[in-house]
Amino acid sequence: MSYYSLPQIQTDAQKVPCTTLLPLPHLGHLSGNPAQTLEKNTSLSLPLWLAEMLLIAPAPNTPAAITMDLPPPLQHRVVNALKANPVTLDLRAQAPHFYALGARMLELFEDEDLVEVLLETFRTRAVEIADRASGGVGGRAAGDEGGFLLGLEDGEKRLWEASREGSASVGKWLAGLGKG
Amino acid sequence: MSLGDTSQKLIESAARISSLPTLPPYATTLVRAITRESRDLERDIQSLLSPYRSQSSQSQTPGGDTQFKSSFNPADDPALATTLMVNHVTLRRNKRCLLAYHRTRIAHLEKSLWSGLPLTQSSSAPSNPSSQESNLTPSESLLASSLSSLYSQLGAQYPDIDLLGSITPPREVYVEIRVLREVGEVQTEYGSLVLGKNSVHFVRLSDVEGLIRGGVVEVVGEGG
Repeated sequence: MSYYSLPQIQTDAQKVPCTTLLPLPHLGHLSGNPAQTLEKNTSLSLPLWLAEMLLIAPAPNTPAAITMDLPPPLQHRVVNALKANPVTLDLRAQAPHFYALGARMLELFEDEDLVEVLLETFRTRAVEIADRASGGVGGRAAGDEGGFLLGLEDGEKRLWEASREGSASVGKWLAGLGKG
Repeated sequence: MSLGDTSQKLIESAARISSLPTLPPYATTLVRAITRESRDLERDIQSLLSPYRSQSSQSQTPGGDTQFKSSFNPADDPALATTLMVNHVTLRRNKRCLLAYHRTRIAHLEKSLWSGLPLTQSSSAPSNPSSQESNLTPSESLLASSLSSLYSQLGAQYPDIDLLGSITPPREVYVEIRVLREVGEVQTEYGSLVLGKNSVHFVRLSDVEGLIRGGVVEVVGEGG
């Protein structure tokens, strides 16, 4: 966890759904009404960096100011889609830093099932990425069927670039071997 | 406009920097907006806490700062405690975004200097150094010039090695180059060479490496 890492800063900026547990007189601006009290049981979405700290109770024996839910990219609908077929889902549309968001949320929530789904998703998609980057096995073109490459999240995109550069370099080296 | 939106924009522009060949202009407006937001937050914190501040317990620290002892107890007013928390966390967030933005710029600057690339758009006239560095803030220009003098000092200790040179071994000893900008006479190991604009020369690569890096000449072909 690096303080200066831009991807991590961007991960922390992703919004999570929260519900207030206290009336908060000075914080109306969080829900877009600066003049009004933020009432108890208001639903609002807050960036992760803020929500995370508000989960901590301000003093012993007092409730925390908010409760937090899993953000939409990690809710049942998406998780079920991932269970069904990890490759076809557009992860980028869910969250640009999908796995990082998952990792951050799982620091706060306990959900073994989600861990398993995320791991399996990454495994399956990583193989698919490597396969496409090397030009595909069995003569399959390296083209982008189904917009898979456009749906890669940030880390996957780096993985894709690394694999493609890797196979291109090996190709270049092999071609150079013949010439001596 | 909710809290931290401005710093979010700054981070997005920082994320773009690494993919650009040259450093974009400094985001003065965004940085100012963020510092203004941070000052407002600080003022809010002070005014929210002022009722709890007792003048009598005011003490002077050795540094000269006036420290206020606050009688505020978070358990008495969780709502106020939460507001203070929101302001504080937003301040910290703004600080992190500002630091990360500047660090990204500095990293880009260092990389360009080390690889001998032009710092900003090289399309501007070489005779006008002020327009070349217009994308840098004064302190960044200062950093750039101190760094390059540091690099040349380091290079002077190893006269046999071109520290800023390419680490890929050359394939050919001679190259064909085209001169993009008027250079004039250049002294080489085997005599002098007059590099007029748009002229093409067949020269030893080692004689013109610096000019190639500086974008003054371009390689048009490798000779055998």
